[in-house]
Amino acid sequence: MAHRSARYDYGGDRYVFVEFSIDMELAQNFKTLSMAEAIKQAHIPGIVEVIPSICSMLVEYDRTKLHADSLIGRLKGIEQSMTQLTQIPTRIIDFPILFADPWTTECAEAFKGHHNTGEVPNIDFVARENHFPDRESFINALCATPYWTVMVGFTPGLPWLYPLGVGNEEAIQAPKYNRPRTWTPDRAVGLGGAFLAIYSVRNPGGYQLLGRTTNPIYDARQRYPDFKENPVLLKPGDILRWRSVDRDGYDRIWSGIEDGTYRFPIRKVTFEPEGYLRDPPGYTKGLMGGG
Amino acid sequence: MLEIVQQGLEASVQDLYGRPGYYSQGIPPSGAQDGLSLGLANLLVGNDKNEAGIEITMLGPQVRFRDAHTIALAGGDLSPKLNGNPVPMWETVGVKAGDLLSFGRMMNGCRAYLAVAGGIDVPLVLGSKATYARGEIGGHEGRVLRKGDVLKVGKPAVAPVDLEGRRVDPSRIPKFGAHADLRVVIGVESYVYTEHGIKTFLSTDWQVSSKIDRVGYRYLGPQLECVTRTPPFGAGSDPTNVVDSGYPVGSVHTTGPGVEPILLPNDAVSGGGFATIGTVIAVDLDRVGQSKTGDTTRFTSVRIDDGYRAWDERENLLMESSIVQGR
Repeated sequence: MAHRSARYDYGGDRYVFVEFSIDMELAQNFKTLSMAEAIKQAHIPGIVEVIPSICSMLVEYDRTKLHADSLIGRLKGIEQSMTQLTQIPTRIIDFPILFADPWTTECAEAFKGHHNTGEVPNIDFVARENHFPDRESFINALCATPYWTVMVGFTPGLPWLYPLGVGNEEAIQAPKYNRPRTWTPDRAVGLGGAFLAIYSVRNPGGYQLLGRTTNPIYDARQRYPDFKENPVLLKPGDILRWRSVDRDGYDRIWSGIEDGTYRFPIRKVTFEPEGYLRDPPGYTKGLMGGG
Repeated sequence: MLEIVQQGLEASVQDLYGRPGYYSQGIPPSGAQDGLSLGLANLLVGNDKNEAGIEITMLGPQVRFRDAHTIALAGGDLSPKLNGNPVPMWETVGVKAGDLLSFGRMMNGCRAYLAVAGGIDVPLVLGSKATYARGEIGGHEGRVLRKGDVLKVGKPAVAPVDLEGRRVDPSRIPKFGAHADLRVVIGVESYVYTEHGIKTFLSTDWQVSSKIDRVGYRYLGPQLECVTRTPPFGAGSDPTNVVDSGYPVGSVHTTGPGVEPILLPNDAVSGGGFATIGTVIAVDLDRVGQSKTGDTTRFTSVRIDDGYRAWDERENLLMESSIVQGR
């Protein structure tokens, strides 16, 4: 449930915690991102970083310049002045994905004993859990649904993604593994609860493995052209559009990424939360339809 | 230059303040787990306190110096030796080309720091020389040090002769016993725990488990009582699950209801779905970095102003006035 106004608390002596809702609601994520942007625009001396998450945020501050209580006062003022959700300048990014790829399949096989039913690849388990007749229809449904980046983190650049244009009850969902895996290939796309995630580095994890994308989302050595400014690709609010590719398509794109000739198709758009909330399916269709 | 001739358990290049400002992208600050000890070692050898040194965990590496350097060792006592002979900590030591630094038994603490006059010369990545091994950035090639690595040393700010005989004022040397008291600010998602659960958290001598690294410190002890509730939509199936939120550096959460608190030090994961009970004040993370498997830890509830005050006291220690000249 969303709080009528945000709940403020201390995250130790370096952070202030601001919580808008304890439930997952896209409207509250939009509010979180709007407020995070408004805080940045206010240029309050002593703020080190604004760290938005799904329906809450941390604000890190420099205690030599700012006391938590006066920071909370400033933040409450910003919250009260936000009469409506601001537009979010964002991007629609193409994400080619090889479903049931050999790498995540090998990983799922290695951790069969940790899985709910031991089914490999996990995609067929997820398709059945969501009442799809077969793998193909599941893939079609997923690729028809744009995913909104609600949060970046856990490990560098890892996006938490939530479907746009569908209600909570219609979202594709899956239970997490009974016991987490000790490793997952990078660029693996996983589903846990209603969230998709892309593993940014080889890391433990418990999401159901669906496939692997060609797109790096974290480039520690900043080798690729899209990472020259920053080792992390995605920001909260970025919209991912999944595109199913076969092994040849995957290999072709991957070699283009490796030699720097392939550039991610990215389209800049302005997302209007108020418009979305009035008509989620209609707004999403209009937004995605142009490209 | 210096060369790692034997690897040890885990040694990495770290600076004092790490890499703030990238946590919203999932990149934690990193930096020395016991910043006070690294800072004092740097001051001994005339470096800026935030200069890069080597953090050495439990089982030390063997380091061969290729040139003459002034070094200082601080932090936990891992029985350092130079060419096989015990070498003092908390004071400057001159080494010659070919000298071999090695370590023996862990006598107290968990991490030792090696500072070299001029600092370890690695590139700045996102503003810091600190290693974040899980994210493969910073330090020496984004990873912990391995046998065969050769590290360059920067140009010393102070002539070696002026560094001779410098030591830390003995009254300012931190002590690392087998018990650590950590001050914690209860909050963030503490509402998931009952009053009784929080009381248990604050009145237990927790045992430091064997799962301790720069990403997480796990503690063994009783289960913390949680409130009875249906987890919110999107959170997961366990009552301690929350819709994924940010984890402050230094925060403590439990996994699977109220079991085995995990404290997140400087290489923290930036967020997740377990309820945070509270956050250890920044200054006490130094002490966490010196606690080891089998030690005990107790958490005491404090207010944020206690944290601010304690931090100021630490910053006042990280000054030239903590260093005395001669014997």
